[in-house]
Amino acid sequence: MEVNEQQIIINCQQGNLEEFSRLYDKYIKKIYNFVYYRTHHKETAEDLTSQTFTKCLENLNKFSDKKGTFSSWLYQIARNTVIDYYRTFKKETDIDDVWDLQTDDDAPRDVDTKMKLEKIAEYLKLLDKEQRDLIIMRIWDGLSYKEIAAIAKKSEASLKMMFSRTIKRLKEKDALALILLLLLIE
Amino acid sequence: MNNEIQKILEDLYQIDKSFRKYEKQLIKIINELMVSRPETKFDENFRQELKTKLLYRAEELMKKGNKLTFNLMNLKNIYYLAGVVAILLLIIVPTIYLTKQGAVIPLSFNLNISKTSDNAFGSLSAEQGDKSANLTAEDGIGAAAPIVASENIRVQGGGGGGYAMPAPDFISYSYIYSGGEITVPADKMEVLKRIKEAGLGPNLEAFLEKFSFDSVDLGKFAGSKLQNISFAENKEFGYIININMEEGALVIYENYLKWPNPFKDCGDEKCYQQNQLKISDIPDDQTIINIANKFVNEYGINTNGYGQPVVDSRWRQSYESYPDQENFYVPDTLSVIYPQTINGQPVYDESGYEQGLTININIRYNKVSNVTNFFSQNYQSSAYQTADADTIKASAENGGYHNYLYYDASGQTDELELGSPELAYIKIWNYRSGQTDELIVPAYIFPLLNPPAAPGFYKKNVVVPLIKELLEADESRPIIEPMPLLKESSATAPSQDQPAETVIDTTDE
Repeated sequence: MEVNEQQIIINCQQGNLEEFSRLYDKYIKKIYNFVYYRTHHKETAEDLTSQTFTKCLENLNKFSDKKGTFSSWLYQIARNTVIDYYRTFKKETDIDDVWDLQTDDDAPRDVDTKMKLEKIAEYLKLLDKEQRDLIIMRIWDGLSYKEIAAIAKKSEASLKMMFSRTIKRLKEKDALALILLLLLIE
Repeated sequence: MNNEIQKILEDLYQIDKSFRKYEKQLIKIINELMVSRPETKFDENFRQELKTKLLYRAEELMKKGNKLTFNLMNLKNIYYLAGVVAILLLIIVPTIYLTKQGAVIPLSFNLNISKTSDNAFGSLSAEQGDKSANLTAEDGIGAAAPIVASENIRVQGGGGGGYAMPAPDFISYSYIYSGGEITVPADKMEVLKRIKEAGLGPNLEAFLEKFSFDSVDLGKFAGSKLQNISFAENKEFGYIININMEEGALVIYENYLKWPNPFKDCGDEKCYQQNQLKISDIPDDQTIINIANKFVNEYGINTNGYGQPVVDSRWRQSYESYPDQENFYVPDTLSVIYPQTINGQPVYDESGYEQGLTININIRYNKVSNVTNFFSQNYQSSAYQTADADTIKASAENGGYHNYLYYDASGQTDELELGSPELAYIKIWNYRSGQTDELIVPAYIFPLLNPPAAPGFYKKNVVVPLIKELLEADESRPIIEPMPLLKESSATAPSQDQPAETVIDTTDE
């Protein structure tokens, strides 16, 4: 964790919470984008981003750099906030993000985004939610595999393990989809 | 192939080189994924609104006395928390505390704001006097914003880089607002006044008695307050540190006796020219910032309440527009500014530039030469009535606060466009009965969407304070006409209008 960020967090934990705005400025757009890529709806993304930062602020005293970086901790909060949101829509099936939704579901989506993603959705729906999330984190969020491992709470080695199992499961499937999976590994 | 795709492919090839067989397909897929990345419609209004909401929440948490637990991270950085001045005072005067009429005012560089009643500071524009009162560079206090007679003459100092550049023609500027609807955040907004009188209390007598001087009994000086502490490092590239207790300011500057001076043995212009820096000697901004950051970390300077550092680039703007760049005076010293923030919002100066903790870097030796504009951050806040949106817009289209400039429609003019404003603060000075109050005032900062290309334009943004009283007083500000250009004078015969030289007839004597 860079020295300035570490100092800001210390200051916040010492009671100078106005310093939190510096963390906010650094991460607001990244977190908003992270949430939008999983909701495809501006107002929902704003609402969930707001919840993420509020949770972060109110629980900052619980953060310790011994357990990981501030960045991965914040992304975890965002990820869990998105999952919690989608679990309010359907009880009988697990919905972790927008890709799990059926067309008749109530969750709002921006029409232009939905249309733009129709083609790529064919590929992404072939993947399970973890693989899909990893693809999005790697290519859309621009996170490194190390960062993804910290957020997903997996080791980099387990990511490779997941890949090999997925290869075996999908080897009869569309070759293009198979190649897509290769992007999961480092 | 762009760098991002290349990186992803390299990750794959490290695992299994046979993936190279699929390179074309992989590039296609990765590219398709990247191109498919949706536009997220990030809204700046949302950013600002959420920030404000979080700051209010932070304030609530702080008021509740949300004592956050120390963990190992905090304890090992206790040195930073203590701050340079606090440690210094503990060493020098362990039994002295700061008092003012019974209340304890810590000399703290952490932000501390205490709320008072509305309009508690009286008139915010009582007198229009000399702006340099009480503020001198020698005291380590930053100089007040200069009043310039023309937008085309600019004098600035970056710790040794001062220069002036007259413009050949006077240009008048008009301002047109092209942003969104202007709204006023509230009927009243908080104005902050910095509490400066932090001299040590009456116990100083007892402290002085402990010193033994043959020449004078210091203990006899009743009611003494400690005003200044100065000390010097006696080593190469050492510093002098001055703490002004009355102003609540700390300054660090070169101990000139211990710093080399390349000009000290110069006897002619050639020597000065040879030692003059060139534009190629100036490192990039990040290098300059790194030097400043390293100094901040090494000396434990508390940057709480300041934003990310930026290099003051005004000298470079002058260089870019200077007609004879080869002979441009390249400054020895460049400034890194850590912009002051209050509740997460930046504090600008009246010209719309960032202002705050200033660390000057001597480019010859890549060392910090001085630290200025480092003040205690004790404030009182008081609510004052805000102006209406029309008045604010009118002020912006008149060049903003304290725009003293003459507009000559018959001469050369330039129209400048103003964008939607940012809510922030500006620092101003209020002169009352020989005293100078330092005020932080909520303001709208209007960005210049098409800053002029002509040299010497001194504004970065147009600033308009939101306080009604300040804008009303500003309407009666003096307008300064530019100095007329001097014409060439004839050194030969006088003109026909002037009498011939008087001849004194001495023949009768």
